[in-house]
Amino acid sequence: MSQHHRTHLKAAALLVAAFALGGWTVARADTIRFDPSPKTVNVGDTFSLALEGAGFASNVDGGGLGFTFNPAVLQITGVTIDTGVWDFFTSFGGYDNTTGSVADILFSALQNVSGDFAIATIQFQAIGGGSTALSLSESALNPFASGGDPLAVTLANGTVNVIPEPATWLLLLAGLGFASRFHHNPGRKP
Amino acid sequence: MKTPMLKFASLLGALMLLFALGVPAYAADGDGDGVDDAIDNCLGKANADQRDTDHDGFGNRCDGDLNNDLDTNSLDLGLFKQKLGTADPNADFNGDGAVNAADTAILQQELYLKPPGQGGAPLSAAAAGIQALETTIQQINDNRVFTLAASLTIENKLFSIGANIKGASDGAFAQAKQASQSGGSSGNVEDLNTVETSLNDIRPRLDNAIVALQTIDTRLQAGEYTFDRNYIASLTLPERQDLLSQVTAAARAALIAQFPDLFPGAVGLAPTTGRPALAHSPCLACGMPSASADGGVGQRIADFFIPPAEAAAAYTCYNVCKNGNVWTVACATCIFKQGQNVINAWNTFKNCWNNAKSPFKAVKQALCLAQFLLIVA
Repeated sequence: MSQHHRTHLKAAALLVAAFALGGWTVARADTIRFDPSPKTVNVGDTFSLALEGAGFASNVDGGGLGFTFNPAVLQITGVTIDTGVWDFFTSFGGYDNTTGSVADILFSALQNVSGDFAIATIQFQAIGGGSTALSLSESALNPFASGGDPLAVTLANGTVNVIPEPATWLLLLAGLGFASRFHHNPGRKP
Repeated sequence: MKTPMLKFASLLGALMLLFALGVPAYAADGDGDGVDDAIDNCLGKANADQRDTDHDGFGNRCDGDLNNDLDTNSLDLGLFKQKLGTADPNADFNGDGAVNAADTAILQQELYLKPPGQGGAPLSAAAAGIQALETTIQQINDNRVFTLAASLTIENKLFSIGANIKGASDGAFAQAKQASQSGGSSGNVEDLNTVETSLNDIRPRLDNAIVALQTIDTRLQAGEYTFDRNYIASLTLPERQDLLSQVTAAARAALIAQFPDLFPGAVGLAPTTGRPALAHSPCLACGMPSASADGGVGQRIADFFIPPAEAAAAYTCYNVCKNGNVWTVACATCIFKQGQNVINAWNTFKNCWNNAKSPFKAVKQALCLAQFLLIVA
């Protein structure tokens, strides 16, 4: 094997190792997350995000979640808990589009649930330009649990970016153009 | 032979007599299991045998709280799944000797996400709890002795009342939420009215019971009433010292004279072994952390009524009720005030709901509900 080939092999091995390490770091165990995230949409779009569990080594008997969002950017239009996975009990505490909060998405399973699994589908409508975090929190009513013991989970908040509508872009561009022109002609009165 | 008119008159007379005697509006044995509601450990579900295999004061038939933390949730489901197919007595809700599909159905449909001991009509447990409180108060006043048994009964019934108010409210809220979010096609708001009516029915009696407990408290401090030996023995030595410091000099002297071995510091005797285990008592705090910074009975009671806006008041209850003070009048009063928050929140919701007019009536009513939930849920 030539020196050239050995160098290539070393580089490939490093790449594979880095990939594996990176993948291991990103795919944290026992994580609750939104998918996809970040999500980019336009103002006026309706879309849905999956709320899901990832990398759970032990059985999950149940859990409870809520989250907050910026109501000037998004509105909730529906929440559907996956009753195929959560076959024992589901309950939803409701959402408030004035304060931007979703309460008590509660779910429990008699069947074994582990690994990657669906929890709920959240339907949104984008109503204003900007970016909003979807900040998760656990509900004490039905804590994440396995075999009678509490289960520590990692909550990975989501992000939704909403692109302003064309009129807003035009206004922004016009403002930038005006500022630029004024900047290049400082002596000229506006 | 009685004519129909005579029969009607007799019936009317009997009803008037019952009314005049002040017979309570609720049935003495609502679930028909032969056990009076005042002492039934499972209201609304017939359990003549009163099976309570974990000795927590709640009959197995309405006790899905397998870890005894006063909630029935995923932690209990995990324990239950481990017992499926066994003969574990605590997970055998129907008492047929096996933990099987029938018990799964009971846990799923009747017990899940409810405090233990719930069942029957809305607030029937609270009404029965107040009746038991009244009976206990009467016994204390008759005998002028505050017993350990009375203390435990008061503790247990206060919990039942609090848990039942919350449970009944929760059930009604769930129906109203469903009605709001479905635009009225499912769920209902009438359950809220039922709960409010029931709360208004029991409020005067709860008021009276609390006043009576306050009076007992005053009389104990003054030495007009005393404690029984079991009660004093159930206290730790520091708690006994606290007790002595909270009564008048005459009452203090009388207690020390009556129970010299239980107040060793006061009379120079060797310390006793401290608080005995209350293995078969109505177990409000079983399985919970000790009543310290973030756990215990007071915290659990506070949890019933902790909405964000009321958190400060709820934590006041924690401070009032912790460290074995759950039987005190101050604790009872605090719990009652938190119960009032539920009633006040519903009144606000009712006005909001009735003032919501079309167009967008459903949206306005949804906002009423959101505002309501921020206070109560």
